[in-house]
Amino acid sequence: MPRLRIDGNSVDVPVEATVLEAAALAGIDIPALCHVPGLRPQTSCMLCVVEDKRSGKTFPSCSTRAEDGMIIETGTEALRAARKEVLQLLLSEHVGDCEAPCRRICPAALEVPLMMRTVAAGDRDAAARLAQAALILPETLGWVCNAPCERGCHRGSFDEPLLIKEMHRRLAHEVPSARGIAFAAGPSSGKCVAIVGGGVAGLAAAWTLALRGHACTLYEREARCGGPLRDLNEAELPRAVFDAEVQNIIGLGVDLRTGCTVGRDVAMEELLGTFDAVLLACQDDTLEDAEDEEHVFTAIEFPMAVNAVAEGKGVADEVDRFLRGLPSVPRRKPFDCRLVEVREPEKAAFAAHRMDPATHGRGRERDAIEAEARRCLHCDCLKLESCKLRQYATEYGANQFAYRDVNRPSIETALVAGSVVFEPGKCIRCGLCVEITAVRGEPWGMAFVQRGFDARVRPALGHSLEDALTKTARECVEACPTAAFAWRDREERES
Amino acid sequence: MPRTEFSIDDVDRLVAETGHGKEAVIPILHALQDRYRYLPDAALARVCEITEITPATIEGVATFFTRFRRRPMGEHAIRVCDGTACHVKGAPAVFDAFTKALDLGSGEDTDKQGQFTVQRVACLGCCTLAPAVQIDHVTYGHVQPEKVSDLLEDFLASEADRKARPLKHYAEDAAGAGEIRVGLGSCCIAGGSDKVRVALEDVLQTVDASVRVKRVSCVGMCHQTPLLEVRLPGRPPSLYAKVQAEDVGEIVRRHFAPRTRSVRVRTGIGHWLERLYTGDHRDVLERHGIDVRDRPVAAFLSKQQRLATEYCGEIDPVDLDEYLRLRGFEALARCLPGSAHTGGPSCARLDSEAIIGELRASGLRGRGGAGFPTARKWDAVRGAAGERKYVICNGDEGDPGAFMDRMILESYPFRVIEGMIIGSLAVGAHEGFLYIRAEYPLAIARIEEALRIAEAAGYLGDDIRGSGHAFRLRVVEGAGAFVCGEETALLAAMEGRRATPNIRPPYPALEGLHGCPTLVNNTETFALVPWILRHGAAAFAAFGTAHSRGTKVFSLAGKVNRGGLIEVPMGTSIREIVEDIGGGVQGGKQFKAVQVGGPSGGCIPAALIDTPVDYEALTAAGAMMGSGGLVVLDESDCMVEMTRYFLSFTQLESCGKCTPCRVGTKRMLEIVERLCEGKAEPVDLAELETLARVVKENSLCGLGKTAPNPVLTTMRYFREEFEAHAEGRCPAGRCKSLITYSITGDCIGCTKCAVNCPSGAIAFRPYEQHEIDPAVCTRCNGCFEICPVDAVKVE
Repeated sequence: MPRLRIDGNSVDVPVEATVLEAAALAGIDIPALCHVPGLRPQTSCMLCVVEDKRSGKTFPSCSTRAEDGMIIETGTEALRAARKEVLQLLLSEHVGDCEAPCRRICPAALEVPLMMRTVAAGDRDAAARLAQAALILPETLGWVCNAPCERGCHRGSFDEPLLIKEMHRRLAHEVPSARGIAFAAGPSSGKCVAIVGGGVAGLAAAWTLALRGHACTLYEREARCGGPLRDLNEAELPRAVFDAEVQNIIGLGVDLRTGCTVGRDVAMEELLGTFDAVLLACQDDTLEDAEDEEHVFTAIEFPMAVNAVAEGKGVADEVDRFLRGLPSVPRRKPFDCRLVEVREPEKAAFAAHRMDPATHGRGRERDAIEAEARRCLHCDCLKLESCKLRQYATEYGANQFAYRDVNRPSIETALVAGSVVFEPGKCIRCGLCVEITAVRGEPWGMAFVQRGFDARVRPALGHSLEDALTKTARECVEACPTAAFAWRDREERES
Repeated sequence: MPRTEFSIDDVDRLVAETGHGKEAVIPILHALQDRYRYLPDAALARVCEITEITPATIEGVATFFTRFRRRPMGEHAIRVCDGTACHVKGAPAVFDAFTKALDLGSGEDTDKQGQFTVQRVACLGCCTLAPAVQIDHVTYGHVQPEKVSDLLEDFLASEADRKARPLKHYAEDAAGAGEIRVGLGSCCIAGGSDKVRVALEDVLQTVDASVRVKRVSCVGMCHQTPLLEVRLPGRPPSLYAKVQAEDVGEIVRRHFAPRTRSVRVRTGIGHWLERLYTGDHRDVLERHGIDVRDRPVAAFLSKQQRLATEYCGEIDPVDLDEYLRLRGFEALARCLPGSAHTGGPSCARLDSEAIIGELRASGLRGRGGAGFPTARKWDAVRGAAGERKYVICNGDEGDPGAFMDRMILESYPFRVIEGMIIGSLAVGAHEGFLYIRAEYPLAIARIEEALRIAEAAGYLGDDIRGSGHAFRLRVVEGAGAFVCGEETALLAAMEGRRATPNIRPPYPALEGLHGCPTLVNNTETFALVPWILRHGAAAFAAFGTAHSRGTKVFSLAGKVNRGGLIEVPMGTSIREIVEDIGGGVQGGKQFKAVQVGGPSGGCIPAALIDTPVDYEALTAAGAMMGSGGLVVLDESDCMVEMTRYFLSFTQLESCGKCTPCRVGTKRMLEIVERLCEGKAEPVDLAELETLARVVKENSLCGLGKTAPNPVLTTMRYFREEFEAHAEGRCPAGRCKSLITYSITGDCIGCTKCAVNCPSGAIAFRPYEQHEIDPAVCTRCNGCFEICPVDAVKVE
């Protein structure tokens, strides 16, 4: 029984075990894209490289047998740098968006494609809840937002972008029940927060903190909340709409003190002494001194309302972490691959499995929101959460555009077989599907064609995807480390 | 010619002749392609129905190898060599010329009549005849872009009137009267030696002499092909270089009396002996008799030491009797069980342990490039558990600029076979293969002929020479994939899979072909074994350096006066090879570097010209022994462009299995291409270096691990050239995007440039100063070369 050291841990492993398996026995996870237990190692991605200090050699751990006396390091600086480079090489030819551009652009991170799918499926309530959760003031934003999301919409390359802003405005308006019923203040945390400034950022922070069970007191020096939104006329933002959405927030149990100026009506010191945290969401220079205090946080009231919402949510999140004693390190932003644009010659290939043929050539649908929702191309990746390439790219801080002037490969038409989609542009040529279809005895199976940089994976001898995957569809989708193979209609992200 | 139509019966018959097992994929595809000139989908589908081969495998293999085509091709295949030597001597312009001559649009490779298909191919191994082109099985050397139409006509004419005359077999007694030796290696044939042979046989019928024409192994003086040597009893041999068919009559009449006095012609040969012509231009070709005592010839030969290439230029490659007379199979005889050697201890029979002991003492290391000690490998296979073992000769010499293995296989087939039989005795194998690349048809034919002869004489088979040892050998033809030089990829191809490498260990010595212990050695390694056993380990170890013993065969090509196939003791300096053997750089130009080891190697700069050829010394200099290609570069060669050339080679040859090589070589190539096009920025240099290191350290196999070598060594020694390119300058004036051509006031209006300009960028204006339209100019350099007064300026 070979005994080796892995990252300082001594481990005894069965004869014939690979270094990767040995590491797993020692509780050490080595990153790998092309490895699936039970299948022959493919040794293609080369992410699983480790170093043997004894020999000074670097090798892929998935296919190197563990030998007695090895001294394995799995995470040295050099190995991490090499993995990052390998990821960047893969990403330099990865064709697809992780997040849909609309979702990526939205400062408040509204799950637009999910919302559209939910509407198209007839579940207006769920869709309205999604909009409420992300935007907090979905109907108000439906009036005032300048909708940067719509400028990124890929549908715009075909006819017109989706009516995203109108969608969440109408959802909020037509399904008001989605607010009150779905959202209630969380179980009390026993902590209390003072929020100074009832603008959009302050309101968004109050909503977020209240939902998490913190007792909020909101100080607003004017008679009404809303900051600059108060100054809009009825045609720009109906007062009733805004008031209803503010009331929705206050209704979570927020103690609203309007007409109360901190520093005049109530002393800052008093807030600092009374509250577990103070969130400054006002542009008041006189309160600047307090910012040095550990439990004081600042949110900027951005002029664009949706930015202010995002800011309020974000700072509230920090406050929440502080109150729960969690470290304040901001969560690493998930890697987000970008298609950038759908080029003219790629349009047909891009639309092939995305566009509802019924919507083809039709403009924006202003009557039924369901009809409009069906125009969505669902540009978000089908494996947003489970894609290993994305997970590692996030972990290693990989940059998709690390190589200058790389002309990404063109979008290829996806193949569809029932509920399975194969998107060639997302394939990393790991070989797992080729292996699976071969060992399971598929009559046709998936084949590698060409070689080198031009190597591709596709159903053998020009057959259809159905022919290639008569019994291995599930296994291929599950083994595929990216969204090259994915379920077409299974939602990975439920909000 | 009408295309052969697909029929199921046809496919069934071809499969029946070839085999039904998984490992038959490549042979079946070769058979189908020979039949249809491409691989029809229906034929592939049919093969899957009647064999063990799966659709995924057949498609994977058919699209992996460059020899196989999925779309119909023309009647004749024009293969333009893009090896290193051809590249530096203008192969890209030759390729463009064919494209133009056949009027091909972009993306097309076959002319409208379906007569010719033109392809760029990895090295044809005719480096000293660069640029070389192969049309079907005819190889042409020194092809000039402006002559390609003539060449096509010549090919079609000779096709119509092909003298497919077999070699005459002469009675043994004829030998006494004298013989005329004609080199019939691929290089010589490309130089025209087969035509010389036919002419010779015609002429000999008119003279009154019993003389035999003998084909002989490669002389190595490839720069002088075709070579013809007249040997008469009692007289010194006469050697004639660059002989053409029309000269044969005169040469013969100089040595032999004509049958009828009236046809005697005064010979005009005397003046040929005056000097040795070393130029390349066929237009002004003069042919000379040369003498081995001539100084240049002596220089070419004297520093060499012939072990693997023993009796070069003397023996008939497939004459078994002659091989035996020259002590062939003597080493084998000592190794066979029950051999009758009873002499002193030096002649005692060698059992497997003793054979390996002898190799160990000789210090022999693998000649394939990495230099692994041969005895250790043999010992590992010998000690490996397993009933079934294999011996494989790796003859998949894919390095552009290298042709040692081709020459050895063509010239000394019995020597390689003997080495392999000894290997089989040492490791206990009963089956073996020679994997030879398809680009070497002559090597395959010679080996197959030699195998038949050896088997008939009892040197192969179930009971070799009555010893009880069984060993069978077969040729496996490659299909165009450089990566097959990597042994695990080669094994994959032999097993009928895509030729992608696997990680080692397990080494093939323990788990090789079909999982059995397998001895894989390079051609040259096997060829050295009989010599070592015949002369003793000490004799071999006496040559070379402390860690690199013996000799090494190199192909010397590029911008050198005397290119050829040479064998020198290890430790010989690059200077001795280039200056003494090679006669220095052509055309009086400045020596810049020598590219060693092909796409895995590197460029050794002029400053390090005293580096000895030795595994460790070359590696330390950033190159590597590789399989032994030496391509000499002069001042007009751009190192960035050379880097681009090698990277584009490895990038095309990458198997595509592992990410660093598959994508990394592509990204590196893009950066180098930007440099060549003047679109790069200084930051690109740092990025290129970083990427090169990552690819080097993280690729799966030797191809990927060494692919960055040309980048790293050239950046190490010629950094200023890279920096110049990053600023948009090409100091050597080679990178087309970075240079312009103009005509100075020295122009005499001779119109040569205008007449020869392939793109019509120069207006025809007799007696006036000519001008080049930069928008039309393709920077082919034709005007520069043709101008008689050096009035063309490159900036």
